[in-house]
Amino acid sequence: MAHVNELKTALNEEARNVCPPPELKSKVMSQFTQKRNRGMKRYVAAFLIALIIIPTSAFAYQSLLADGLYGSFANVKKHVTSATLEGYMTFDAKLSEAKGEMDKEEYEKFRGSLSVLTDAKLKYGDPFGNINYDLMPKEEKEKIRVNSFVLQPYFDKLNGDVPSKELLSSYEYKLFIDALMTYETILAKAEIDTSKGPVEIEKLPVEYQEQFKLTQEFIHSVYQLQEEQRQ
Amino acid sequence: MDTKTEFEELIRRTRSGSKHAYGELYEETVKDVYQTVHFLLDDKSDVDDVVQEIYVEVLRNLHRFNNDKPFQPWLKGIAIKQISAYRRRRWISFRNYQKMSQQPSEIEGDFSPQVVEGLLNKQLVQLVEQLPFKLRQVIILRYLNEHSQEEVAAILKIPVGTVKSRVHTALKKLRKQEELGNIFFGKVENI
Repeated sequence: MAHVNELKTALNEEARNVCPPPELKSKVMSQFTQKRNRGMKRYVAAFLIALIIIPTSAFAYQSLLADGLYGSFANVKKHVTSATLEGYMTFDAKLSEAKGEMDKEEYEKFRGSLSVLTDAKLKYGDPFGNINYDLMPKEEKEKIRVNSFVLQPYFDKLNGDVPSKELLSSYEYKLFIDALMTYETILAKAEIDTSKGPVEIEKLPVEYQEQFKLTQEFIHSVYQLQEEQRQ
Repeated sequence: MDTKTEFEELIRRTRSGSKHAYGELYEETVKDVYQTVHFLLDDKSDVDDVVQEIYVEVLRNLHRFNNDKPFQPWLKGIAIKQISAYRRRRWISFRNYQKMSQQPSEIEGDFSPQVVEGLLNKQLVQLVEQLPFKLRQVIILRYLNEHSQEEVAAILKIPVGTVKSRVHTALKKLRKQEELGNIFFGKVENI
């Protein structure tokens, strides 16, 4: 049938230009090593941009490493009305812990990445510390995104979780970071005060509800995976 | 290579932990897999990731592979499963929505005089890419990968009769689309 031959030719011609990039092999091969080492287990994930808002009662005065990133608590307070001193101190405590656990070079790298995030929070964050990434210049957004890939493993570590990067495939990990950013964007758009406990979907404007639900489901599934790994 | 014995050997060595064998297995198969994924995914920027996923699954399931059966269709079955899983992830839709709303398409038509024939091929491929996923699947497996109807049935886990009818429907649709296109061009020429 002439038509079938035409079709075959067209597909094959087009396929000639479709070749796997050479770097894909090294990615695939690295999985071979990982899989063998970990006995094929599924991964976990976690996160925490909400690191800043973790509630806790234990706080002790330290050298206030957090000041180096945010300026001071007063500065945070000026931008983020829902910020609490407690949350700030927790953040500081987490930083001290990080400093204790990492060598100097690694800590500097971590801090460098973190300051990109905290700068953005101060510059673009709403009164509750959430950023509407849609309003950000595209380059800035991409910077934060790339930065989050780097930061996430540190956050996971500080939260005592198995690094999400190891638990998810690179594809899923990318989706996860995107989901987190979307989640925050919706909260910012809807002007939700995230310091007041869990977000109730019904309270969001109707147009955001469906998207929010999907995003939330995905993030939760990742958390759950992480939870399972911990047990 | 024939494949069957050579694949058997590579699979055996991969199973016993040879990274090198796995690398060869990858080299032998990746082009075909990559092209299949390319044609079945709407968002080409995700092709690399999905292919990577496929090879993770291959590694994970290799111990289940039955040596009496041909390897390529088995591999293609995994590929299709992963592609479908990718499509199923419900929230992908909102992600695409986001992408679409944020980034105006960066793909520009290539009108360099690479020419008419190339252009026609492209149009045909575009028509294939506009087919519903189920139809596109059979067309790609059948006419790009050149799997037999029986193999396609095994890969998709559907009866051969269904494969036949899908191929038929797909070709009919393509023809119809093409005719529509020709009429359009015809009119333009007549002016």
